Amino acid sequence: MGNGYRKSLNIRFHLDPRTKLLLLILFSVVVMIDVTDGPAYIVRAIMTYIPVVLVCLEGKPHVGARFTVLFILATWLMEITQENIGGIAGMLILFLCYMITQFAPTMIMVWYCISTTKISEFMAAMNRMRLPQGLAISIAVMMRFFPTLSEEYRSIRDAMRMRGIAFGGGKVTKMIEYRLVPLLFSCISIGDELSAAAVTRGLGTPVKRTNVCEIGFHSKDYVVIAVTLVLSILYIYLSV
Amino acid sequence: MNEKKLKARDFITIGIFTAILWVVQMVIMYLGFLSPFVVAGYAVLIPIVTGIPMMLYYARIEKFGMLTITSIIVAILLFIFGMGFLGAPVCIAAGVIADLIAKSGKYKSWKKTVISCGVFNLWVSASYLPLILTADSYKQSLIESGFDASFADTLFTLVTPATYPIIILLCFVCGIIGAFIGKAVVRKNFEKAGIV
Repeated sequence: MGNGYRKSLNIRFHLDPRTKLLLLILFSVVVMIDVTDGPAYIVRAIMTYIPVVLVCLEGKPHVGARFTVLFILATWLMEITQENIGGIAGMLILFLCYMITQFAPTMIMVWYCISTTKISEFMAAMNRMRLPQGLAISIAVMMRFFPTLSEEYRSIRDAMRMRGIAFGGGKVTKMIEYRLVPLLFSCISIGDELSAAAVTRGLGTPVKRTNVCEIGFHSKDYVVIAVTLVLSILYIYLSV
Repeated sequence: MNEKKLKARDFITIGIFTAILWVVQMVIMYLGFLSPFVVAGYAVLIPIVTGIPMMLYYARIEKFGMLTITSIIVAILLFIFGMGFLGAPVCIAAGVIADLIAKSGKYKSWKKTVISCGVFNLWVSASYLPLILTADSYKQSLIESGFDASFADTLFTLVTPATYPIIILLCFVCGIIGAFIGKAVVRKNFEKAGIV
């Protein structure tokens, strides 16, 4: 067990969960300051590609590629619209592109953090940071639940399509009800199963839990942190 | 062990419902990407739509702390998405007060639950805070990126410091409306199935 686990760590470019957390915080600060051109924008664009590179190094280059296409497309469309399309339509396209380019760094960073962190690693990191266990469990369950939710949603959509219900007969309220209610039903039953499984494995016992995950900072963590930190400081310095 | 203390099961419930709450609000947020006017509509849309999961959540709350933890997690998420640097304390305060109100009704009183749901939804107004406080620089950057000045102005007539009290009030009122709608949906679908 331990050996296989360590092997899987060596193959991928794996960062400590706490490093990812720090990156998230730095990115959220950067996203809050909006800049659209000048040297600060270049720094921002470079920073946008940090999570993309990390995603690629984790062995998911297709996700990185998809994101790159979206980002370039949004930037390009923005320039085209600025020069050629006016009026309300142009403004709406601009707004969409603006939002994509502004929030893209965080979106991809959050995606990266959630999809590459194992729940047990996350718990180990939270324990090391002495976060209250209750909060850590809640966040861990939530992180585990995002993919489940999208999976469940997809099955519900398929089931509805099979019965010929596409948009709830055009009514907005029905549209929401038809999707949300089945989703809540399955979430509740999954939640019950999850609690049963967790209690069987001794979650919630008063003793201190141990964890097989060996987390720790390595040279790659320091490199990533240093690069992001320098870029963030540069960005804040340039934009303020 | 103390009966009032939260157990593993409660933490799992918190995680699940916070995930649902966040996903629903993210979907509405994405709609806001399409048109800036939806952004102003968050105060109405989010409390009403999240009313359904919230009422289901309230039905499962029996102890103090669950709403508080939910609000802490929402505050962390708001922070990560760059909206909650200023809003996070407001969000947590709303959660704690909502929790206290519901507690005074022993989590059973319908009247207290409705008020508590309204207060909890004040977190939606917290996500407007950065937009309002940085309105000038935000507007400037919109104009720089090619927006008409007049368009940027209309955008900010809906969300300004002057209209902020209305937004807060809207969040509260729509939270209460959402609670009633949620209760109706819960009664219609979940009580029949014997889940609540």
